[in-house]
Amino acid sequence: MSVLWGGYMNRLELRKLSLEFRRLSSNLLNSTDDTADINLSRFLKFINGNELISGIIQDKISGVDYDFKECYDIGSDDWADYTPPVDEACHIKAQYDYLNFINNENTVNVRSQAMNYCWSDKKINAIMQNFLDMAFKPLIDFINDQLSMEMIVLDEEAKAMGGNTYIQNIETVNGSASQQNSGVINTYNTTNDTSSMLELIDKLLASLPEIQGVDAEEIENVKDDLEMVQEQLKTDNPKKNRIGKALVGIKKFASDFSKELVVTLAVGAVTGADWGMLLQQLENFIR
Amino acid sequence: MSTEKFTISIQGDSEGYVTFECPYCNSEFKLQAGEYQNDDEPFEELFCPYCGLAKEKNEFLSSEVIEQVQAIAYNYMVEELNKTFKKMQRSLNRSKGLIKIKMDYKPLKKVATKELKDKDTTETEFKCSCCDRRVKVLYCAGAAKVFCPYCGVDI
Repeated sequence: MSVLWGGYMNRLELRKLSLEFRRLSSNLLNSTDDTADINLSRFLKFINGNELISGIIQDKISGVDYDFKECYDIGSDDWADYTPPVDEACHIKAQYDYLNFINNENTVNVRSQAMNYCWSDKKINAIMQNFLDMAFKPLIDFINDQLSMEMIVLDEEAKAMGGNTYIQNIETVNGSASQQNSGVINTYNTTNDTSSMLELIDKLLASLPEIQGVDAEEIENVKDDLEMVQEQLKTDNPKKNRIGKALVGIKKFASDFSKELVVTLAVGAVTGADWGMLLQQLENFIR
Repeated sequence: MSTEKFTISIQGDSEGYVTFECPYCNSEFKLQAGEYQNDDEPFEELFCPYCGLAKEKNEFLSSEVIEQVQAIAYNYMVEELNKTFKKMQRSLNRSKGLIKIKMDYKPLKKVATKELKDKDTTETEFKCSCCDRRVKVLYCAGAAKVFCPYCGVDI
C-alpha cells in the first residue's frame, strides 16, 4: 500500500489511474469540433471525481489568489492574448478555473474560446487542438508528472522492502541493514527524531557551495529539495508526500554526482555517509 | 485528382530499431521494426514512452522521415511537371504552319534525398510485461517512468 495520500491507493490502482488519466488527456488534446465539449466535460469530471488527482490539484492551488481571466484575456474586444503567469501555482489555478468556466457557463464552449485567439491554421479542428494544447497541456503535464512521481516513490519503497534489506525497529531507533552476497553488511543508525535530520540538512546545505564540477542549476535544485524537506520537518504536521517528492530529487543528485561529492565533501569535512544517512532517515520517516 | 503511393525504407540500428518522435513532447524513442510492422498485432495509435500521451501512429514519424517524405513528393511533382512541359515543347516545336511558335523550358531540379539509417545509440531497452513488445528510451532510474508505446501501461 502507498504511504502517500493516506495510503488508500496501491501500485495497481495507481497504474490504472495513470493510464485512464492519460487516455482522457489524449482524447481532450485530440478533440475535434464535434467532440471538444464532451471531452472537456469528461476530463473535468474525472479529475474532480478522483481523490488523488483532485488532492494533487488542491494541494498546489489552495491559498493561491489569481484570476484566470488575466491569463486568457477573457473579455477582450480584440484578438485575445495568452499570457501565462510566471508562478506555476497561479498557472495551474488559471487552467483549472478556465476548465470550470468553459464547462459551466452556458454561453461558452471550446470552439468560441478557441476562436478568440489568432491562429495561423485555417482548419477548425487544427485551431481547436492548438487551443486545447495551449490552454490545458501544462495542467495535464503537471498531473501526469505527479502521478509518475507517486509511482516512482512506490517503486522505491517496494525495492527497499524487498530483496536482502532488513528493517529493525528498536523502540524509537530504526536500524537498516543491507546484506549482500559478499557478506558485507552496511548499517545506518537512524531515528525518527526530526532534530537529527534537520542537523544533517543544515550540514549538507552548508557544504553545497563547496561542491566543484557540478552544474549550478543542479546544486540549486538539490538546495530547493533540501530546503523543502527542512521546511516540512519544522512544521507540526509535515506533509510526507512533499518530503517523498523532494527525496526523489535528493537521491538522484546523490547518485548522479557521487564522485564530485566525495572529493568536495572530504575537503568540507562532510562525508558521503551523511547523504546516505539523510536519505535513509527520510525514507524511514515517510514510511 | 489521382493518388500516388510511395514507399520509403528506413534502415534500423544493429538490433532493428527505428527512431520515432512524440508529437507532444518531441522526445525521441526507438521501436523494433518487426514489432511495429507486425500485421498480426495491428494498432492505430501509439503512446509516448516519456509523457504517456497517445496519438495516431503516423503522428509519431520523426522529422527526418517527414522531410524525406516531403522530398519524395516534391521530386515526383517536379518529374511530372518536367514531363508535361517536355511534351508541350516537342509538340509546339514540331508544328508546321504560317506562324511558327518555338518553346523552350528549363527543367525544374529535384531535391536530394538521403538514405535513412538509424545508428546505435545509448538508449535502454525495455520490454512490456503486458504485450511483450519492446521500446528503447533514454532512461534515468528513479527519476522517470517509461510507458509502453503500444498498450500505454507503465513498464
